[in-house]
Amino acid sequence: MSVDTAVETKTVFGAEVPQPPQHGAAGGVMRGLNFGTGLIGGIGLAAVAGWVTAILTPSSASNASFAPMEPTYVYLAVLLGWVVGFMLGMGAFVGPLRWVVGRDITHADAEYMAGKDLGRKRYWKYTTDHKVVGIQYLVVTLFILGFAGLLAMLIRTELGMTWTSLFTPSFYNSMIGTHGIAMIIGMIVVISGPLGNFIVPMMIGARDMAYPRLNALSVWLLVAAVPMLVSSMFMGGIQDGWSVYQPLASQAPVGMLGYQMTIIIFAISTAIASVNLMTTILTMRAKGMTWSRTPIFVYGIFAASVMGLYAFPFFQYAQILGLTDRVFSTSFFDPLNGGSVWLYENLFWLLGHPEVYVILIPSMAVALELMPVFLRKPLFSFNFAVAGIVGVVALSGLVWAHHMYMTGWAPAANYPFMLSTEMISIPVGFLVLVAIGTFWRGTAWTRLPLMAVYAVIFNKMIGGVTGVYLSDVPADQYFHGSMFVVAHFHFMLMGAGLFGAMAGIAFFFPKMTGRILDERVGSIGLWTAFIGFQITFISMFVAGLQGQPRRVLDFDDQFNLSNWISTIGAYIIGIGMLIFLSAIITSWRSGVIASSNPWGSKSLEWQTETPVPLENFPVLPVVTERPYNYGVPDPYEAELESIDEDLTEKAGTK
Amino acid sequence: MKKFLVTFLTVLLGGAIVAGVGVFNAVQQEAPPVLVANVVGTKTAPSGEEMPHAELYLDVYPNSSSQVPQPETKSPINNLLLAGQPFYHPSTSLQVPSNSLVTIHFRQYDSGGQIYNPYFSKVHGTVDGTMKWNGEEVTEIKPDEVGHTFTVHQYPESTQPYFFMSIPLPMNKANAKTDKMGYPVDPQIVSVTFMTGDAGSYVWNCEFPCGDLYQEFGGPMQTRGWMAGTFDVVDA
Amino acid sequence: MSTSTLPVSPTTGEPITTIARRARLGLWLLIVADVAGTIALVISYSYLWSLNVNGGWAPPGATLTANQTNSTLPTTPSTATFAVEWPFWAILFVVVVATALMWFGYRSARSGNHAGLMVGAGLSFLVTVAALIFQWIQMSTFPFDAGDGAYASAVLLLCASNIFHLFLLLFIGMGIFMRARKGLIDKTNWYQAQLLSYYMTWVCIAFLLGAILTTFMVESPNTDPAIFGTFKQQ
Repeated sequence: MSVDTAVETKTVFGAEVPQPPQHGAAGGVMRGLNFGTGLIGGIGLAAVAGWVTAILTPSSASNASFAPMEPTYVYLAVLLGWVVGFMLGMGAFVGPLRWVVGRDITHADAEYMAGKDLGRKRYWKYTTDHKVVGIQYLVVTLFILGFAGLLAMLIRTELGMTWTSLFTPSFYNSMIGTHGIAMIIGMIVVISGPLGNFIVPMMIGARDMAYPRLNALSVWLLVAAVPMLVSSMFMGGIQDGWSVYQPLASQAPVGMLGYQMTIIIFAISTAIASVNLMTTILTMRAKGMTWSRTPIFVYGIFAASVMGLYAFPFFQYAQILGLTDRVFSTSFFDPLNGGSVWLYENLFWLLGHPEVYVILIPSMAVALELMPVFLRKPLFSFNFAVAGIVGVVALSGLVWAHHMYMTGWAPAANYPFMLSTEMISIPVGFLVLVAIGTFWRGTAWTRLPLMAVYAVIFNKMIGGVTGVYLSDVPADQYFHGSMFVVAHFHFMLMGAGLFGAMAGIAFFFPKMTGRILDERVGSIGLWTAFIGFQITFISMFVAGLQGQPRRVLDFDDQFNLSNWISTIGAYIIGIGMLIFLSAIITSWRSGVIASSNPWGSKSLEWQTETPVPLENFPVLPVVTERPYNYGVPDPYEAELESIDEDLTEKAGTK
Repeated sequence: MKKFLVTFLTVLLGGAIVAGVGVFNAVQQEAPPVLVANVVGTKTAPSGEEMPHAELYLDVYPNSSSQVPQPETKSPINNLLLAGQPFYHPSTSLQVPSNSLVTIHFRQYDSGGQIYNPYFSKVHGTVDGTMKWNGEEVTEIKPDEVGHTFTVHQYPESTQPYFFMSIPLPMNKANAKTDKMGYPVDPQIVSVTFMTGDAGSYVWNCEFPCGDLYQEFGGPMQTRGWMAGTFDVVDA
Repeated sequence: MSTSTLPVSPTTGEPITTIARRARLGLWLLIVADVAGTIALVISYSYLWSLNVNGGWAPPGATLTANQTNSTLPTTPSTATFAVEWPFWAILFVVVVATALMWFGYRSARSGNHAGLMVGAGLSFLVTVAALIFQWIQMSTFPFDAGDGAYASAVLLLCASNIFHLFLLLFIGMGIFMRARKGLIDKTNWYQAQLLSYYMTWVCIAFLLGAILTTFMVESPNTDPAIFGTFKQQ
């Protein structure tokens, strides 16, 4: 029996730490692996898997719908080969294999894997540093949103007038489905990914995330999922909407496998990321950072992680079951053989609605986080904000069936779900009231991030109010399946979600890139997009009230005007977003160099230097006060201070 | 100035990408070449009015062969997925003159079976409610002997002139004598005459589930060039 | 006790107790996700069992009352029946034994009994291999195929989930054994063995849920199931 004993030591944050044996150069095999080898591995294994499957599958094999099975098996093999090969080529399996054989990584290995001294190359590698992962998330998310936005432009072009006939009905359906799911994925990730990873560890005074390698795994799994989603468009597409209801999905072209595999992989990525963020927040907060001293953004990210953790598996398993129905002829959703389409709908919406809050809560949390900074006053009623977030999380899992009022599933359950849905507007209302209360008598320093917050609050109000109608069973009987619904959820997911992300990116840009986001160009982009957004979706509300059904390619010409206006608005959004993107690109490359704390914020991430050093803080900080003690104290501040003092005393006596 | 230029270029590039992808996809999905019904003379309508008479010839094949190539599509994957599926030949983009009598002659080479909705085993919208099947005038065929249908739909748009026409194309029996390509030596011959109104644009498709996916209503059934297409009534 | 006497993480310099606390929390959270997925399967099984849509719950060869049989369903040879119940419990028993052995190994590590750790981890690994083989044999000898109705689908997916869990256990179990062999798990640094013990306990619960479903929820209670319209030709 060989025994590796730690004999050498290394100075790690000031302490002499025994090291396991160092095998070769620091980083080992990871030195030769990067995105390029990932692509080679992915494409290579996909090609081999597809080729072998094609050989092994009899060309006459077909399913109950007479669809040939060869493309199904080959495409599935290609997708599996791609994801395994890509992760193999990136080096995702190196860590687990080293763990199994007992060859633990050393501090030097860890520093290499964190990207120390690797320059820009670290962004192309399986890098563990949370700041690199944050930037990787940002780039991937921008790509996903750009792709989905491109489809949105094409959809609106087709819908500008009835019978434009630019695309065939099948391709149009495919664009709708792909746009929907790509936007949902992009919006779920856009704050929790880049900002959750880059900012949260610093905001709580930690050196990194709890599990740095899992952090890299989560982002690269997302990267692996993107080509699977895009590829589906070339394989017959996702023609059944983003929700891919059964049994349509089982009868759809093979492109559906691209959707299913994307969700399966994305759900793994999300679960890992959620566990990582939650553990980091729960166990790695700086000394003195009690829950009352924890910034509201951290609560928002934590809440999104909780909802993602419990809800995503339902979506993932719905897709696994759908995949087996398709590939192995099981009958979970096939009524002919005892399956139920309602089963799918329930599993789907068990994620589907919490997912809305996975998008919204981080967005609202960003808004609440930066408002005290720009209004120079404490967050109004911090406790109510926390209560709002907790309330949303608690109720998020109890509202899913409001999407199914009209499906005929359990009509007796409609009213309890109506009640729970309307109840959730109470904690959501808390968040809006906290925002308004913070604005009250604040001295607004209206910079770009705060402008985006104005947009978020306006859009959220409209989205929230129209949502109340849809939560109402009798009203929903009229609105269900109409363009009114489409306009409503765009106000929530895009109007509140995406504009919130713009606020967050603008606010944290100096810390992430070391440069200030160009305010003039950025605000032109923001307001252009905002105006376009109102034109597009208010007009869409009108079309919905007129009775235009959603998911319909060619409509009666009475809806032409509202659709034409919506299309013009969509182009304006596109132009606005591109202007905002150009602000990001130019500022990142050659913007004004940012000081370490350009906004004068009191939270921890701004107290370290910029660019942020690898270890974030030379010495871990100790928190002694609440994060929003700006200007005039909150009326309840004295009371809260006394509670804090009590707690401190109690902690001291232990 | 530099900032303005970069912003302008970003917007331009973004617009170009959207336009490029849109145009690329639109071209990829280009409809098959238009098959025009030629006016061959005049014919007397049931009202006694003498009207221009045009004719079209369409065949329905169960699959492609060296004799009958499958419809062209610019997407290689679509070509692969649709290989071996039935299609109308030579085109599915049809154009007929307005305010005329139009006769379409079909040769149906495919097999068939039970149609889900027997409504489509009946003749609708022709001049006298009949079609000519192998020389005999019929108003319907047995619902379990349908090969395909040719069904022209009204657009759901209030400004379009009303038009609806549907005829069943009978199936070939399983024991029908076939040539070396596997096509029946004596296909089902169907002729149908109908009257067009003012100019308008319509879509047509087959209502017999002869494709794959979506309860056999997918694949070729939803693809123009195969079992679905456009039907334009134009002023001469 | 000074920090220097405690084992520390070679990469962050933090005490192993801190790392262990963090890892335990992470494991519990991962188990939450795993529980949610398993619940999705349990919901699928029990929902389809309760509905018996189109009388399609039971495999075609199972004893059915006349009104449970949908005449529009395709006729298939009546060979497919419900699965025998005892193998689910037998496999559960094997997994419980593997878990108990792992717990023994982990407790041995904590008490400084390295031989106990090696025996526990090694035997646990071998018994897990046996469980995987039994599970595979059970799946491949079911009296039904995937296409034989909703019961067959639900049971097969439960078993597939078991197989997935067993593969995970094998991978981690092998790691624990190899690491124990190298002396990387010992009296001062045992948390990874503890994590595997916890996870195996959850896996036992997942297997138990499957066994309960497949034993006590076999024939659908819905003897007058909804017959939905289909496009099936009469």
